[in-house]
Amino acid sequence: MKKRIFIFITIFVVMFFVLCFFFIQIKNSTESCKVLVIKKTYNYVDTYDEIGQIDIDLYVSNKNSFITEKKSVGNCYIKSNQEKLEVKLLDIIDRKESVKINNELYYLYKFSFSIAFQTEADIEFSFIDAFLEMSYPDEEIEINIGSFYYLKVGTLGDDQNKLLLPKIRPIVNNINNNKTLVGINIGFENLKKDEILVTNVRLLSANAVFSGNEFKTLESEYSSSDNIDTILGYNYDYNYSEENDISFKISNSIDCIFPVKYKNDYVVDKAGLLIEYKVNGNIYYYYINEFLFFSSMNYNLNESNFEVYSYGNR
Amino acid sequence: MKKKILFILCLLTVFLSGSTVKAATSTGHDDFMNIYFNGNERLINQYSEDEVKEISGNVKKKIFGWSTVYINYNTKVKYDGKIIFSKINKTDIPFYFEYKLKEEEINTKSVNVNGSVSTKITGTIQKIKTTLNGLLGVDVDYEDENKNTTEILTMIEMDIMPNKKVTMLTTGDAFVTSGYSKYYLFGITIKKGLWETIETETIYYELREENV
Repeated sequence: MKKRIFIFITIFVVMFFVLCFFFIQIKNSTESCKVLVIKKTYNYVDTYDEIGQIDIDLYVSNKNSFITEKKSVGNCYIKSNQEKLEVKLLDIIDRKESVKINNELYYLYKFSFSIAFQTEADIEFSFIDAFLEMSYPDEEIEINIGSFYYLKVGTLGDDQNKLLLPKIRPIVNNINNNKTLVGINIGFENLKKDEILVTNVRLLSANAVFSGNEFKTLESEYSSSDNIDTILGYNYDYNYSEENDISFKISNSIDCIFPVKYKNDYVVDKAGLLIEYKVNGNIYYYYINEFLFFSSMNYNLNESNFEVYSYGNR
Repeated sequence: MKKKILFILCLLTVFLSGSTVKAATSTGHDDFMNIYFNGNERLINQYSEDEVKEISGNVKKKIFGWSTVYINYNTKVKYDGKIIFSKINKTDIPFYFEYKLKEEEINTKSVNVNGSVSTKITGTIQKIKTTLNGLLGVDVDYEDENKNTTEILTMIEMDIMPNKKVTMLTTGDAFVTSGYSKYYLFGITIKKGLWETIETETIYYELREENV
């Protein structure tokens, strides 16, 4: 009798656990999965022979979701409304960080992609509104990641050795409670006897540009956290209006501030630079690949800089 | 009896010994070359012994546990950080230089302790531990304290011309919290000491190119 009771209890316990397991599986498979993305500006500059890499942080609400299954991911693209750039998924890494937003828990994953294409001429992709498209067997997802800029050039640096940059210093102020790159202080030094005519200085980004009309030469030193209004001497408007070329001459050396204007609110923490200059009528280009200007440990979310997408799980 | 005395002595040695972190910089923090306060505030290594004694006297007595008197509490400062790299080309030809700046090289929290308090006490006093903040009630949690820190943050590549030196350094904004703490057991001070934390809020990166 005791033996029968023991067998009965054992079967009951095993059945209970099997049913629990199935219920959990069913619950997971019917649960929707949310993906939260904080929109930012992705700026990259590579040489022709280099393979670029783009890392995108996505916050996923369900750890068992198909979104983070690397083997399920098919074709991937970074695209705008008109153009498309193929990228290849390298890895999906659990960053071991969770975030609770509006009482919903999200887990942080880094999606790493390579940008592998060959070119023998300069090529530029500039998407003010960029989307990450990833195809899965039963679903295709499209996420607005912010802005995207990618440039491939022949050489980086000043291969003519005519121009020296004694200083690249970011000016970062608090705008809408977020640290924002509002200007770049660049020093120039002419290494040759001939006068250098700078014909343009560009911030290589889809979202942010230098304000050509408002660049100015500096007489005193400023620190990275100094107020742009104080440096320029008036209340600076960082909203994009129009793009103008920047032109000035360098006989010996010069220290300049280039104020930054924005087309949208997405943070620009790194970007490449281009200095276009002429010596004796010949034109030269000085490219700097993406330079990290600042990193901030605090970031304020507001409705314009993040988005949440919902997907059905399989 | 001898064994008991030996055991109590060992126990006292364990209790009274504390970790002391010494830094090679004037600030007492390896990653911060200079700290600039807005007012008359100071770092703990700028206090004289008499001043420390006076601060120590202000710590409230307790029966059990830690008691702290704060010197600075999340005081905003500016700082000069360390040189990330400095490279000279003394040859006749340009050379290609590639530098990968990794997360592990960016220390966002520095602790300086004196006396018998341990670095763990500063773990409870933390203002900035989030990368996200703000309007939506965001709460960030790290599942793994020993996060993989080898992730590449950015890469700088450039040709360094003959007789040129390229340096990358950091400055930034941070918060300083410091104090004097005592640990009481049945009203007796078991541990005591000065401590200080510097937590980075923003790091600014600056590139300098010079003739050599």
